[in-house]
Amino acid sequence: MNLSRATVFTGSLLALSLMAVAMGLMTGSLGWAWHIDWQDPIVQDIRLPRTLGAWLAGALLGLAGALAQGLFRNPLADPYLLGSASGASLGVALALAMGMWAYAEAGQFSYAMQWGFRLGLTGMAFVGAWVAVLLTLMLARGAEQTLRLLLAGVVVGVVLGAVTSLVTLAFPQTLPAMQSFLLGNTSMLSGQACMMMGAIWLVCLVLSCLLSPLLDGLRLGEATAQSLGLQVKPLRILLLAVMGLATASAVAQTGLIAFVGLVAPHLVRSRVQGSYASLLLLSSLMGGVLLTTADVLARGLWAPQELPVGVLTGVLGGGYLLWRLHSPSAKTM
Amino acid sequence: MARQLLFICIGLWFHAASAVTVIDDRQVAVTFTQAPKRIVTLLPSLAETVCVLGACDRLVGTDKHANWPASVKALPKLGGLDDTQLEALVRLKPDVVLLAKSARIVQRLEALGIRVLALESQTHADVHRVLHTVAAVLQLPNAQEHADAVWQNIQRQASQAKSNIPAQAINATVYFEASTGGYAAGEASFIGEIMRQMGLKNIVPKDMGAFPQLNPEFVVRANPQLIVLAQPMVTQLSQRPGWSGIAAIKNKRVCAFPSAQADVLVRPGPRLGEAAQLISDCLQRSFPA
Amino acid sequence: MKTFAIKTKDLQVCIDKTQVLHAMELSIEAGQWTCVVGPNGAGKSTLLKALAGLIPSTGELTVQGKPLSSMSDKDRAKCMAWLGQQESGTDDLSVQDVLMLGRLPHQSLWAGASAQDQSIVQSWMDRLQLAHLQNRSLLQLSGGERQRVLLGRALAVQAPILLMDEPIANVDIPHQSDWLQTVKQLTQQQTTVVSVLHDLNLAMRADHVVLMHQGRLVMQASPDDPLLHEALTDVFERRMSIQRVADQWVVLPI
Repeated sequence: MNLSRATVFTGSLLALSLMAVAMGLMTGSLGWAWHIDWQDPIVQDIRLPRTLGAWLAGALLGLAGALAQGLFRNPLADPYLLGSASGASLGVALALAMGMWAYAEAGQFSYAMQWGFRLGLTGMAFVGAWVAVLLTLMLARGAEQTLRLLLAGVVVGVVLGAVTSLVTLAFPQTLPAMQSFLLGNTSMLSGQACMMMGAIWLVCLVLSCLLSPLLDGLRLGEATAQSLGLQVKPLRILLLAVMGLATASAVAQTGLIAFVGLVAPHLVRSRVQGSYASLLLLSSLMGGVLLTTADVLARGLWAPQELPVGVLTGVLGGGYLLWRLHSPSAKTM
Repeated sequence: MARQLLFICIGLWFHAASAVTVIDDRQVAVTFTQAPKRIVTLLPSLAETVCVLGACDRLVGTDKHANWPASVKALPKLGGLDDTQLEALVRLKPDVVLLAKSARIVQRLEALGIRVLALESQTHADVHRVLHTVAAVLQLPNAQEHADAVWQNIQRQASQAKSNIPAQAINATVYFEASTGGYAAGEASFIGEIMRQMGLKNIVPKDMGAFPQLNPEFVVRANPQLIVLAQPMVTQLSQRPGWSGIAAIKNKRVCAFPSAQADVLVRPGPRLGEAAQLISDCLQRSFPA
Repeated sequence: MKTFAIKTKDLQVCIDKTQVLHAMELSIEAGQWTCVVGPNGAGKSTLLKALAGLIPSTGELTVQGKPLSSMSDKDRAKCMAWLGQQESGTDDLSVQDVLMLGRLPHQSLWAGASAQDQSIVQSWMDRLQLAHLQNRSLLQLSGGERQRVLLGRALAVQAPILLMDEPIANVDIPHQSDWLQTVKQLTQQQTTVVSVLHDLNLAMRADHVVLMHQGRLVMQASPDDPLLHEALTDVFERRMSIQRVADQWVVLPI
């Protein structure tokens, strides 16, 4: 009976995704209209990649959030736990600062700066997120103890955040751009970005579904999981790597978007219970729907001006969590 | 503005010539029994105002962003716009501190007994007014006429810039990007005012505010003929999805300004003539005869 | 001819530089129920984990004639099912899902649950009277019900050796009696059962008793052995008496 419920839920999420994408194609700087003009280059070049990109980023974050909650066995875990958010911010700050500095000097570029330019903001955010995750793993000396991993993640997040602040202090002209990254936006997503995110999403989904028995086993405790023949240590590191890849890819393209990774698995679990293979897929689809909806609202509420999409996810996600905490069925928190 | 002039005249009438009372932007009356000889400014445009009135030698300290004219760079720097180094400032023993209305340090300075004058210029009219106020405070000989002369000079510079604009550039639509992340300078901003006076049409109308964050679709739809960037590009404009079709990009009419010049464009202050000149140069480059 | 499901020689376990188990030499007979008893802190849970291969140990450890270290994780999981003292569960797994997890050692990475897995799970749910709770979440059950579900998970593995640490701590008397019957049926089908029980009355119903004290093996004997009774009373500070009542050994505190 569980299985059919999951199937129905999957179907409805797919339908919602289509609707959300359609809404995205209808919303733009002119507000919202009932039709989609497929010939319009604006729809093709700007709205389509942007809406699809929002869905893919949300799907990546939803998947990463479900992985985080399964790996840490904590319903409040989110994909940024291992410091990837601060690492990405630092990468972006450095890229902007190097750009500002090179521009002011307008002279020779050092080799490091040329690399920064070549990677661009997206590349630097991706690299930064990965460096943070690796630092956390090194600090925790492996992925064995979840508590140590969590603490290491907090430490790395704080330290890298402080370094980012120093960089923005030294180069105050980077502040508006940093703010835009920190609040998240989908405005510059290109078709290329969509293809990259799509490929990474498929890889992460397949890998994590294959390795999902570990997450199921972990629900009964680490010792029990081990007694069931699961190689907890190596599989856990692999799943952490998948989580890091998904998070870094999303953050690199759209900036820091809050709450999607945290709320998507919760919304799924409140409706459907089951093995982790289906939970991962459903959380991913839910994340896609959530972010696309938030993006449509961000573009449409105040057209032609844009609200940062991270603000909307914060408000919606935070509101939902508040409601969950106060509802009578707060047992699963 | 007329009210301030009235107060200044009344002040000059009732007191000996050396005592002056001005009302600053907080509507607070500040009295100077003597002309201040040691001035600290905590806003770059105020340092520029003092120097443009010829009293640069009276400056003893500025904020760290002030960099014009060159002599100002050698002065002690007292921190940014919000994190002033209080001790260093007090040690300079200023007669007056000129700063922005929104500076948080105002109450602290007054509590320490330091005279504070809060002035801010957001529009051209503000710049004119601030020139007069500062001239009165400095107690320059023929202060008001001097201020007027400086203002006329600035206006002359601006009209000279305007006259150099090539014919095809008149009424051109322009998109001015103030910072990465899509913040545009609209008509309501300072640079927007300058561009409007030069006859350019900003794609961002007044009712959208000074620095709105735009949906990139809006820029594509508006199809500006000229794009001005006041910050370095980290990615090529043509790589932004859908932007390669914009007229300004197709015709290579993009002006990017390095930070020294970008400062002039974005700061509201007495260098608006120079800003106009920069825009004019940009137009001459982009619309060759 | 006795066969031994598990044999250890000079088994030692060190945790955080403290030696917890000292030179244990055990022979667990196949197809029999062995119960491990001892005061708190004797190392009973540690012994069970070491036998299951969940914590590293030094010395010889042979399972079904093969050294444990030579077995792959999957083979070990198919050979020995382990049920620990209840670890904290934050999750809302349904009863059916929990029992299905017991089939993991038999499932490959690609395939999911087979029809055989489904029927095995269903039969154990019926045997443990859990069918009516099939879709309830673990968190909604009482302590005793949860314990039976977790037991069901261990039984669903259908391993020839079953290691259980306090499997009926919160279970009421009728279900304790059910458990005893299940153990009897398992041993009749040649499954080896090793359990840690703190209730000595139940422990004395086993085929063999292993007495531990302070990380060492004190004695391994049949419950009828008077030397075992003497050793038991000694270990528990002489504050109990063992009586024969209605053809069973009854342990009473004095």
